[in-house]
Amino acid sequence: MTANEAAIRKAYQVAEDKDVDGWMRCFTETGTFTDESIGVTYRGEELGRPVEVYATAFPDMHRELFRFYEAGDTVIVELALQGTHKGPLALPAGTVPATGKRMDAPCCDVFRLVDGKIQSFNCYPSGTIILAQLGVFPSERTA
Amino acid sequence: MSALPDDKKIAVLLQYFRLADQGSPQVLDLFHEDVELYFPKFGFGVGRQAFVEFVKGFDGALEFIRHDYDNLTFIPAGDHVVVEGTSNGKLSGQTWVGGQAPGGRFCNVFTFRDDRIASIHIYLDPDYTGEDAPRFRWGRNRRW
Repeated sequence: MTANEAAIRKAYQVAEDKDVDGWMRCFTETGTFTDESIGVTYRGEELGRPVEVYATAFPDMHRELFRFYEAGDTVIVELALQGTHKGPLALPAGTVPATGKRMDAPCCDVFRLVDGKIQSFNCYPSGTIILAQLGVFPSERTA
Repeated sequence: MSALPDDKKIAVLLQYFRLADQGSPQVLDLFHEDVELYFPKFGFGVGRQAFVEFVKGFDGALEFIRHDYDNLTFIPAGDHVVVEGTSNGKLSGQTWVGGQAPGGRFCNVFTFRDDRIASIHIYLDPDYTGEDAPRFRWGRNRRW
């Protein structure tokens, strides 16, 4: 396993441990996290926000890592986002109360690293699959 | 394994995006017979016919799609090429412009064998225009 793959696997584990400070330390000072499904980029203190949101909504949040690809300092991961919706899920369109339903949604992450830290993280989840699995379509059409 | 140089793989993929946008059946010639396809809500399919089935899911709804060729980022990684990009188009009378709205941002993972595409995994939010429930075109009983 290369150093970059190890760094990314560690970052996933830190997120799964809900270690928000540890997650933020995985990024460079100018690092970014873009949720491509909603077109929002987080940076600085906001980098930990998505981890907090999903940890709150899905206390058993798990990222099942299927395949890794590497090209220089770029690491790409095909994965599934899994968890049980047991807490409020804060979305740009509003907050979805806990539904008790399972999420198991496809995702692809693209990381660009500098000296072993994440300079950019582009996350491509299928947001509306997650919403469908939670059964919240009608009120989430504009999400 | 593919001995095809990275620039040739990228040329094949540019052709793929252009032929797909044109709705040309010639796109199938770029695939192996046992090509594996993954698309959210469609799930996994194997074979060129699966790609045809996938495209049919858009029949009568998709007026056009155009990938933004000038803004595609190709990341060659051995037998694989990952492509980040955006598209624009019109679906059921509603337009989307990738990069300006959530719909239309995509990341595709292509795998090559010899000089053809052996698999395509497409990652995006398939709710291009911000609607949803009716967009489970292939039914909900799919392996995601």
